[in-house]
Amino acid sequence: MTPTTLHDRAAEQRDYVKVLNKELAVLPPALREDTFRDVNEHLEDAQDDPRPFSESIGAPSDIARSGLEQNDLTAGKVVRPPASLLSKRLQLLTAAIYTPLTIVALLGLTQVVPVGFRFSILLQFIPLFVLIIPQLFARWTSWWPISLLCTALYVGYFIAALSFVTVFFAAGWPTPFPAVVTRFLVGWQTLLVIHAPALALLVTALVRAPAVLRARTRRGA
Amino acid sequence: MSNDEDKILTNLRKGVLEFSVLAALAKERGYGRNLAHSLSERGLIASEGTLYPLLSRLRSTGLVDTELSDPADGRQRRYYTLTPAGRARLDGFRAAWVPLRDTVDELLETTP
Repeated sequence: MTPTTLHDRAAEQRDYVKVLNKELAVLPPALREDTFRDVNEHLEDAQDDPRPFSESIGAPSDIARSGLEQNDLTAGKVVRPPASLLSKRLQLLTAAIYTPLTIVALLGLTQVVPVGFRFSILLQFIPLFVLIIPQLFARWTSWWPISLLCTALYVGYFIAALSFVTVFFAAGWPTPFPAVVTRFLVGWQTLLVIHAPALALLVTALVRAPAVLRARTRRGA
Repeated sequence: MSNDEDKILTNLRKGVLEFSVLAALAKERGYGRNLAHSLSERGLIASEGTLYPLLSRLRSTGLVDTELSDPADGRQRRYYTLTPAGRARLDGFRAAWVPLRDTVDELLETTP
C-alpha cells in the first residue's frame, strides 16, 4: 500500500471503530468487550483486504444485531436495551426527574382540592409518566417503534398544550372562555420548566439511538 | 434467490451455525478471522463480523476456550479451542442431526 492508501485505511478503520463502539453499546459489558476485541483483531488482520471494512467484516449494526440475538439466547428471552446505552440513560434520567414530581402531584390529589384542580393536576403530570413507562420496559426488538410512538404522542401533547395556553392568554383577561376551559390549561411554567426539558431528553434519546435498534426487521447471521 | 428461499436459508443457518463453529474447532483451533473466513466461504454466515458475538457466548457458556498465541510467532492472536463440554455438545448434536438429516433427505427425495 502507498502512504496515501495507508492513511485512508487508517482513517477508515478509525471511522469503523467509532461506529462499532456506538452500535455495540446495546450489548451488556462482557459481550461488548469480547466482541469489540475480536473485531479489532479482525480489523488488524484485514489490512491486506482491498474491500471496505463494512463489506469484508460487515456493517457494525449487523454485528450488534448478532450480539443482541446471542444475548437473547443466553437470557432465554428477548432482552431490554441496557442502562449503559446513552439513549436508555436519557430515558431513565427523564423518568428519574419526572417520577418524583408526578408522585408529589398525585399526593396533592389526596388533599381536599376542587375537582377541576384535580383534573388539571392529572393533565399536567400524567401524560409524560404514562408515555415514559413503555419506553423503559420495551424489549430491544420493539424499543424503537414504542419510543418513537410515545415521543410523538408527547410532542403532540406539548404542542396542543402550548397552543391552548397561547390562545387562552392571547384572548386577554377576563377571557371569553367558560370557566371549565381553565381545567384544560397547562401552565407556561410547567410546559417550559418540566415538559420542554423532558421532551428534549426523549428526542435526543431517539436521535442518538444506534442503527441496530432502528432497523425494522431482524436479519440473518 | 427469492425472498422466501432467503428466509428459509437464514433460519437454517441460525439453527446450525453454533454446531458448525464447534465442528470447525474440533478439527483444529482457530483465530477469529480464519474461522470467520472459512464459515463465510461455506455460506454459513452472511458477514464475517457477526461470528464474534456467537464466539463470545460459546466462551461464556464454557463450550470453547481461548488462548493467546506466542508473540514470538508474529502478531499475538486469540485462538479459540474446543473444551470437553463443547465436544460433548457437538457429539449430542451429531447424534441428533444425522438421523434427522436422513429423514428429511428421504422425505425430500420421495416428495414429487
